[in-house]
Amino acid sequence: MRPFYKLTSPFFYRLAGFSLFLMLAGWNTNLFAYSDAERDAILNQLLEENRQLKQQIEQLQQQQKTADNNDTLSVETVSSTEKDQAKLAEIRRDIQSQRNDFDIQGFFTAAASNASPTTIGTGTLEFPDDTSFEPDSILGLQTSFNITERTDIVAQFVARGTDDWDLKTDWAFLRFQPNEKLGVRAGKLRLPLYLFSESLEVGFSYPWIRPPLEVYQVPVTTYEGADVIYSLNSGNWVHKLQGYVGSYREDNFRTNTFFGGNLTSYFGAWTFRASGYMYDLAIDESDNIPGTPLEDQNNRYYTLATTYDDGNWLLISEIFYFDADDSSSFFRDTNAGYVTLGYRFGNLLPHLTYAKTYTTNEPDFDGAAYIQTINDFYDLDPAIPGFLGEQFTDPANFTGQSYTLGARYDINRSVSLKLEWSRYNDMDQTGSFWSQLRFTAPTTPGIQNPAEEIDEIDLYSISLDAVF
Amino acid sequence: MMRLTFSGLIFCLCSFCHQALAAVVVVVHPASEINNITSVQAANIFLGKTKTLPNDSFAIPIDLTMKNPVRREFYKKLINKNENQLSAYWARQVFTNNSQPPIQVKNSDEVKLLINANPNMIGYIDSEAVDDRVKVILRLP
Repeated sequence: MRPFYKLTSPFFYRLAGFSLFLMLAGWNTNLFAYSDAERDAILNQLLEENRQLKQQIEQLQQQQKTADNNDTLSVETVSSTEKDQAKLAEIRRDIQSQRNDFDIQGFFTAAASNASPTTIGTGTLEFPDDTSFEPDSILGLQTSFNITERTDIVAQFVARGTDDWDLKTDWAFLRFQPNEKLGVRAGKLRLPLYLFSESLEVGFSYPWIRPPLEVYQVPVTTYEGADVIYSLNSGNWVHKLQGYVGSYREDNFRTNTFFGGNLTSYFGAWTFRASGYMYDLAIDESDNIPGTPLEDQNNRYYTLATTYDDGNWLLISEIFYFDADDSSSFFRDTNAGYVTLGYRFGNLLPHLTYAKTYTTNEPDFDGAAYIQTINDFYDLDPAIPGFLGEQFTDPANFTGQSYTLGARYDINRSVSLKLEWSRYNDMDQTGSFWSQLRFTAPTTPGIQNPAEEIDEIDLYSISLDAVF
Repeated sequence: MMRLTFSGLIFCLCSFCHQALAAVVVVVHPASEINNITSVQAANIFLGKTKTLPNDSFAIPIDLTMKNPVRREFYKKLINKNENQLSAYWARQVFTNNSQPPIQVKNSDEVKLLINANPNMIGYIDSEAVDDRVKVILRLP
């Protein structure tokens, strides 16, 4: 084994050379110029500086940590707002889905009725003397489309049992609402004559199977035209003012450009309504209707209505005065009205209605001439049963009243069941507003005129009403 | 068993009392100019008879869904009508194109969240759910 320190080894020389180099180089360096005491002082100074640096680092780290914590806090704040925002967006989507741009809603009434002892009718509506499902049965579909936030299109199609379920358009209009108080509609609209005129088809919305016929029998129920609705609040009151202009046209029957208006005021459980409507009417000559052709001018309707509904008590009352053309061979000045009183026991609403209607003679009317017209029309003579005799001063005049006892039961929030019994009497040989009793020539031998014999008609009805 | 029935009875009574005592309050945005309205005015808004508050500002009513018991309480106290009566009322409004029922949300939290984000909205909540996000303008005890 060769000794490490062998003087002759190259390593020894290298080490010696390096040492010499260090000594020569270090001669001029500070390190080698400091004394031991100085080196100690420097060392201490360095240690002190090191300690301070460590402290500073610790402080910075502490600050960083606090800053980090703050960051965490602010992140949490943001995320909580974001959570609210997300929730809000979700609710808004949910709301949006309740307010689809395109919507279909509907109503349906399945009804059965039976008139006794004879079939009765009003010209547009007939209740047969055996069980019939036609007169009150109705299907309605409504769809609306929002074009903009303030403009929409609404269409309502109604199929009636009396029309063999043919689909007819009751509403088809474009509506513009420039602000919260004003609405303008144009197109096909329902005539807003009475309190329930616009909702006449929606059985689910009212207590009866049908609103009292003494009032709700009008020649025109829809029109083509436009209306303006303005609403304003004053304290607890809300007033709605509606004005309309339009016309109606059928194959053999038309009106001029008519106009009308109404004011509806709401005050808590009370509703008050007044309306007026003015129109001219023309009916073409018809083989089925005596007294045609007909041209009546300046027919006017004036109506007043009030309802009270405090959730338990229900009061509905409506009256109208119809001012007919003085020379009309068809229509007479008419007064009619009804009062309904009901009390709700939970989901059961029993109600009682009294209704009355009567005409007053027109001064210009020539009764004898008209009777002649009718007898000629039906080709009647005194020898044949059905001849209209002298007892009729004016065959277009009528009077009558009715009592209706009914009940509505709400099965759930979209279906209700109704039962009704109506008695029409006190017709004073006129057949009341049942035009069928007055204008249909008798077919049964031995009966002079159905109205003369019948002074009491019972109408039994049952209906199932639904909305969807 | 007897004790169980008894405590059940107490519980029922308590929850009944609690329900009966809870008030429903009508609320708006805290910055709203409106400080109070009458119950008739509230009914006018929630039944769609008017679209404005007494100060003529636009009002968007927020309803609760039918599952929420506060809704039942609200309409009972406000207009004494149940869900079936309300439905008949709205059938008439909808099919005569007068107005549509208010938008519906699930609970008072959603009502408060919406109202706080939209000063035009007006809602109703259980009085115990009131916080600084809304202002009470009508109390139905």
